[in-house]
Amino acid sequence: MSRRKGPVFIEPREDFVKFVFDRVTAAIFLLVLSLSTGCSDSSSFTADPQGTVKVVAPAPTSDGAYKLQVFELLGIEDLKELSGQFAKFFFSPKIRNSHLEGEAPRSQFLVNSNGEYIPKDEMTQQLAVIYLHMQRLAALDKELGLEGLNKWPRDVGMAVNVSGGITNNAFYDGQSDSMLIVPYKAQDMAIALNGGILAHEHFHSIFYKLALKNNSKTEAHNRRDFLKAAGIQDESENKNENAEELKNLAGRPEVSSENSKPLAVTQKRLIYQETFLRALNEGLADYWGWMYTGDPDFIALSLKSAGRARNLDRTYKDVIVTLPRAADIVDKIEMTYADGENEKFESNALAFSYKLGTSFARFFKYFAEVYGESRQLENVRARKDIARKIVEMLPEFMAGFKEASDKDRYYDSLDLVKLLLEKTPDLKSEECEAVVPTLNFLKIGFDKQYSCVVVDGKVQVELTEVSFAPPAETLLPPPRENKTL
Amino acid sequence: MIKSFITVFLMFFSLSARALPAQKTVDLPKNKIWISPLVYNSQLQRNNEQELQLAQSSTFAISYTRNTLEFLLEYSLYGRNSSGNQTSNIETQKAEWNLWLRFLNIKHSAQDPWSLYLGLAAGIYERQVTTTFMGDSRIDSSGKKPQLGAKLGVEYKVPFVNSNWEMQVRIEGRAFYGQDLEPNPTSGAQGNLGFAYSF
Repeated sequence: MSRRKGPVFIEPREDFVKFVFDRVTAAIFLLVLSLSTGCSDSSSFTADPQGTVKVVAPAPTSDGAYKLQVFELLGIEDLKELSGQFAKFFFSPKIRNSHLEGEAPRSQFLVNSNGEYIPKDEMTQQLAVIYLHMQRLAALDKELGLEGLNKWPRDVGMAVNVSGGITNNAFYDGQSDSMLIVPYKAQDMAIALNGGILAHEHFHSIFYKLALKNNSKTEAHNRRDFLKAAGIQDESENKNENAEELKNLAGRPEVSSENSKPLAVTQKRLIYQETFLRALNEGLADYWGWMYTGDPDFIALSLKSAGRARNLDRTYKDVIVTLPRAADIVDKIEMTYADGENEKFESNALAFSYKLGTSFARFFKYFAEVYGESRQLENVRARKDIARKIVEMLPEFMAGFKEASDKDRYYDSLDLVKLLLEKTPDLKSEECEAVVPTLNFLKIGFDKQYSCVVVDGKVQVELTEVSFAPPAETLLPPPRENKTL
Repeated sequence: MIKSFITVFLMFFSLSARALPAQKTVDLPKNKIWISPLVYNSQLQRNNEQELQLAQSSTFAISYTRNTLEFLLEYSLYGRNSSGNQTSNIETQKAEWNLWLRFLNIKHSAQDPWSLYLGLAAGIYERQVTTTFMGDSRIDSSGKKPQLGAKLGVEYKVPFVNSNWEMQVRIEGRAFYGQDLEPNPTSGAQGNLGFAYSF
């Protein structure tokens, strides 16, 4: 070994340094090589062969309260996109040819020492929670006899691009059969984490397929307004047709402040039908949210202001008296129309639909609770039993609804309650007593009244004549004899 | 990706192997200790809107150079990245330790203040996630994960008169490849001002 001249003490150090350098360099080289080959999978983020992944995120417990917990996502096929058997996600999608199109969001997880997947950002957490609820809603669909109705995996649009300023909301779009979630800007629980609202939106897909599809031009959540306001690019081939169809939604007249003509009978009926369908759709969707979570105030978790108006936990008396009557709906439509201005009319009509919808939701919730108490069922079982009845009712409801409209008649809440009773052949007396006040509120005229009777051991609702003899205390006193004259 | 990474790595080594004998002709020191008190270090990391954004770190680096080969030990602690709201919040933080081999083998001349360099690193990183929901919170750690790095940069030296000290300014682009990195590879940049002592 040739050595340069220099201080003696440098010599051994130089050798030593070279010695160390050679070995450290070799060690690093070997480490790099082993890591390179070891990382051939490039990621430890792989689901097991069954596609099961344990995730930590907020989810409802059995009592409906939300907390951070570990849950299993099943059927995961691509962990980077968090897609699998139950959900497929699109980031800021477009609608093209009645399908969502867009890139999949990239999930980011950290795997802890227990092998649990921890979302590293809000988006990933929301994807995981939505996937969980889709998985649970698929099981619920199966339990309620809806297997095969919905296409799985469900398409879900995340961070849907908003040009009109819509935030803090979620929508179901029937044409693309997808759930669309817009950014959440409030400080409460994000809608994407709210199982009740996700179940609500999921119900719209059920209502669309069992009732609306091929039957009505009416969309859940006013698709036209939503797409317009949300700035979602609908690139469907038939968009012009759709646009025209939606513009003339159910023959809705254009309203303006200059138009002071009263609504034509046909127009009024068409608007009534739209309002009623939308109200029922929203109401039953709210019932679905409660049925799924057990929380009557599930909307308030994410939307405090809307939650107050849509809390399903009201007194029973209120529930009964506020179930909408056809005459009340028509009156409201006429009043709203008289206010003029198309935009105002549409927003007021939409708000009115939600209000009516809450009445439906409260009624069905009330019936489910009485049903459970009278049969001594667990609350969750009773909720599902009534949900099953709703599923059975929907095709018949739609047939009745169409028949009524063909005969120029208003299908109203009375018809709906009667249909529910038809679907409850083993009616208990408590259930009958609970429903009769509603029926009497909804009936037209004072000469007849609904009451509960027992025929051949079966409880039935019967419409009977009412005696008009006034109660004794309301009779006028007899004329006094005039004895002074 | 892996193959190309290995190829680049082997290419660096071959460059290094060719360069090392040549260094024997350089009549210059030598040994250097270098420390950098002022470092700007950033990496492109994906945010909640799925966009790549620069995450900055506090970085400490120290090195020992023998001729044109430098061993550099670097520690970086990246700023907390938070997403969510008051009800549900996720905060992440990443720390990494890298051992760099830096090759000053594209050099104009010994006295030239400018140098181009290549570097390779083996390191570990650890990420911590704090998840908060409705007041409850938990902290999870990824544990230490391996990563590989490569960098290309330029160095400018300003020797102090009559002194063994010199000031160095380095600007470099870098990329890391490793298990569970997102994006993978993760790219970044560093600029630093350091002081080296020759002996």
